[in-house]
Amino acid sequence: MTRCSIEKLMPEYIKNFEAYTPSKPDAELAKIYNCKKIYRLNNNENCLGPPSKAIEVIRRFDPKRAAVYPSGDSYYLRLKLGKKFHKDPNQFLVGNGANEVIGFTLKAFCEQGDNIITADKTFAVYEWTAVFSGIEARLAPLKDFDLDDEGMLELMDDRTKIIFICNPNNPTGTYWNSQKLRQFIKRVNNRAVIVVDEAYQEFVEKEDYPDSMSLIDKYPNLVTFRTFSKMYGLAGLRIGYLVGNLQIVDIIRRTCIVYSVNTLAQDAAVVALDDDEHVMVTRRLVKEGKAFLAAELSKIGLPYQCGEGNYAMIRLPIDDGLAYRKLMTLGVMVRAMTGFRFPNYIRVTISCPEAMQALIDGLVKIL
Amino acid sequence: MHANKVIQATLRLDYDQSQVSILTSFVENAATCYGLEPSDALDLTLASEEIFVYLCSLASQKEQIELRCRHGGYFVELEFDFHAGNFDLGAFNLTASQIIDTTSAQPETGLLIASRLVDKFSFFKHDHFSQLVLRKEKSYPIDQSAPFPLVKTLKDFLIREPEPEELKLLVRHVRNEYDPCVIPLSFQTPGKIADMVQYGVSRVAIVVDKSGAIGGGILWWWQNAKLVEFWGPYSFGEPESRVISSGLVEYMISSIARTTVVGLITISPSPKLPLEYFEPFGNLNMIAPDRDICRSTCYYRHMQEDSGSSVWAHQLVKDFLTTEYEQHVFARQIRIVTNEGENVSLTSVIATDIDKGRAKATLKPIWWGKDDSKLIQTYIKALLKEGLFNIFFEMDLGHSWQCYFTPALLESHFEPCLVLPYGGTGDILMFQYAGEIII
Repeated sequence: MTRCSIEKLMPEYIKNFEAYTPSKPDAELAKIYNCKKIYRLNNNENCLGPPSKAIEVIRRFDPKRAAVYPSGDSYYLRLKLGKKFHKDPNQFLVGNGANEVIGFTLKAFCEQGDNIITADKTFAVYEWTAVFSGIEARLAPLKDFDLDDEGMLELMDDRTKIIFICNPNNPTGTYWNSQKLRQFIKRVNNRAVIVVDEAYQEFVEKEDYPDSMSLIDKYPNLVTFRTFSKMYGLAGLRIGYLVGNLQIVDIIRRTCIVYSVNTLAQDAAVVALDDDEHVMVTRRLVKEGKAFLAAELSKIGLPYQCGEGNYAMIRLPIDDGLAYRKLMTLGVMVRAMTGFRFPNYIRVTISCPEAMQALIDGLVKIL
Repeated sequence: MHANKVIQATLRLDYDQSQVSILTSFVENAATCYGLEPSDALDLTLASEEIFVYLCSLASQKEQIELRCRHGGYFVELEFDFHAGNFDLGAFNLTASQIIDTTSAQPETGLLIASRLVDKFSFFKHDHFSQLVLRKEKSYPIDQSAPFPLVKTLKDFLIREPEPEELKLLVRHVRNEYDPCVIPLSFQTPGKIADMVQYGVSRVAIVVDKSGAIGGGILWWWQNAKLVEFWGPYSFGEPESRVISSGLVEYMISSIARTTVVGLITISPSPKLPLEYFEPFGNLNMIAPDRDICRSTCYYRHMQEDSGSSVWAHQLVKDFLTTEYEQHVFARQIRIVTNEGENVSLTSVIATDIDKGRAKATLKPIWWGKDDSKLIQTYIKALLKEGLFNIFFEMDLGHSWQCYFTPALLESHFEPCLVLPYGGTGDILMFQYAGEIII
C-alpha cells in the first residue's frame, strides 16, 4: 500500500503553500451577496477606465487578428517605451502583467538556498513567488508604515539575490525619496539585484519622489517594474514591464516566456502612453477622493493611513473579514487586509465620488 | 502548517502474521529512538501489534501495508495505510457494543485494546486508501514549582518568539495568574510546551522588555491545515496590558496571514482577549477529567475574504444554520437533503478522534446507514464509560450524506453548537453531546 503518489511528487515548499483564491466574478458576487450593484474598491483599478485612445484601439480591434500570434517580445511597445523614456528598446521586457516579470526576475537570479528580501507588509506577490519557487523570503517589518532600509540591509547575506522595494508601498502609500533610494543602492553595493516596483508611480506628484528609471544606467543591479493596470486602466488586458541596463535585462530575458502578452494589450498600451490628459484627470480625481475620504473618516472617527497611490487603508474597530462581508451585502467591495498582515484594516481604492460616498455610507451602517 | 522537517521511518509489509516480530522490532526501536520512555514505547508497540494482527485477519495476502513511524517532538505517531476495499469498515465503529468487552476473542477487540494503549487514535478514510493513526505522547514531569511573584508593568517592550527557558517562565506566570479554565492542559508540563514549539506543532509569542522581564504571551497550534486554535493572550500588569494583548493577537494573526489557515478560534477565551479582532461564534461546555465544567463562548476570526458558497443541511438544523449564517454574514445557499424512498445502507460507520488529555472525543462520519441512532447511542455510552465527557460530532456540510445523521444526533441529545466555515470540504457543523452523563 502506498500513499497517493501525486502527493509524494510535491516539493515540501509546495505542500505548505496555500494557493491564492481570487474573488468570484462581480455578477456571481452580486447574486451571492444579494446586491444590485458592486462598487469595486478592492483592486486599485482606475474607475475612469483606460485612456480614450486606448479605448478607441480596443473598439477597432480586428477580430481576425485574434488568430495570429502576437509580437513575441512586444516589439512596437518596446520601441515606444524606448522613445518615451530615452532608452534602448532592448532595456525593456514586457510581461503578462507586472506579476509575470516578478517571476522572470526571480527565476533568472535565484536557485535553491538563495533568498530574497522584501517587507512584511507590502505587495504579496514577491513573497509568494519566492516561496512557491522554493526560495526563502526574508521579511523586514515596516517602521511607521514605511519600508525599513536598515532592517532590509541587516537581513542581507551572501545568498541574498534580490531586494524588492515597492515604491510607493502598497498598501501604506509611503515612499522612499530620491536621497533614500540612492543611499540604499549604494549600501547594497551591487551585492544583490534591487527591484523598485513602481506600479503606482504615475499617481505620485511629490517632487522628491525618485525616478528610478533614470538611475538604471548608473546602477547595473537596479531594475524598475511598471504596469499598465493602474493609471492606464488596462488591468483586464494584463500588461506590465521591467526596465534595466542591457546586461541585467539580457539575463532576465533568458527566463522570459515569449508570446505571453496578447496583441490587444500591446496595441492599447502603445497608445495609452501618449495620453497625458488621462493621467492629469485621474490624478485630480484621486486627489479629490482622498480629500473627501479624509474629511468623512474624521467625522466618523476612523483612523486611516493614506499616502501616495490611489488607495488608502482604514482602521476598523471590527475584524476586517467581517467588515468585508458586511460591506459586500451593501455592494461595496473592499480589500480585507489580514492577508497583508494588517489585521482590522481595509484598503480601499480612491474611486469616483459615487463609490466613495457608498463606502462612507456603508461604513456608517456596519459600525 | 508550520514547516518543519519531518523525521520518520517507513516499513512496508505483507499482510502475514508471521511478520509481526519485524513490525514490533521496528516500532519499538523507532519509538525509543524518537524519545519515548521504554514503557511508553512498549505501549505503542503492543498497540501496533494489535492493529497488525487485526488487519492480517481481514486482508488478502496479495496486499501490502505501509507503516510510518513519525517523530512529532512531544509524541510519536504511527500511521497505518491500507486499502479500504478489503475491509468491513463497520469494524472501525470502535466502541460499538459488540466490541466493548475486551475479554472476548473477536478480532475487533484488538482495535479497542490498541486505542486504550495510546493517547490518540484516529481513523481516516481517503479516496483510495484508509488510514489508522496512533499517537503516544512522551511523559513529562508535572511542574510543581512555587508561585512566581507578580510581573511588573512593562513600559517599552517588544513581541517575539521565546527562548525555551523564557517559554517555561511564561507558562509558570500564566498558571500563577489565570483561571485553569483559560489555560491549556499542556501548561501543567512546561517541557511539553517547549517540545511542541520546537517541533513546530505550536507557536508562542511573548512580550519582553529590555531587562528581559516577560509581560505576557499567547500560544497557538494547528488543529488541521485550515484551523488554528489559540490560548491567551495572557498579559500581566495594568494599564498597558490592553496594548500588550492587542500586540500579541496582531503578531499571531500576522504570522498565519499568508498560510493555508482559514479560521482562528479560541474555545476558552482569556479575559484579556481583545474582542474587536474576533466574532463570538457559539457556546461550549467543556468538562475536565475531574468533571469540573468550564462554560465558554468561542471566538472566531475568518482569515480570508468570503466569496460565499453552498452547503447541504437537514431540515431540522436549517433554522440554526440560517441564524448563524445571517448573524456572521456568511453568504450561504442552504440546500436541504431529502429522503424519497431510495435504498439506503443498513449500517453506519463513524470514526472517533480521541483526545484523552481533554477528555474529548470527536465523532466523524464515514458512512451513513439505517442503524445511525443505535450506533450513536452506543458510542455515547462507551465514550462516557472511558471518561470522555466532551463528545462532539463533526458534520461536513460539503457532503450531503453526512446530513442524514442529523435526526439521530438530535434524538441522542446532541445539539448544534458551532459552524466552522470551510472547516472541511464545506463548512463544518459541530454538534455537542448535551445529555446526561451516566456512567
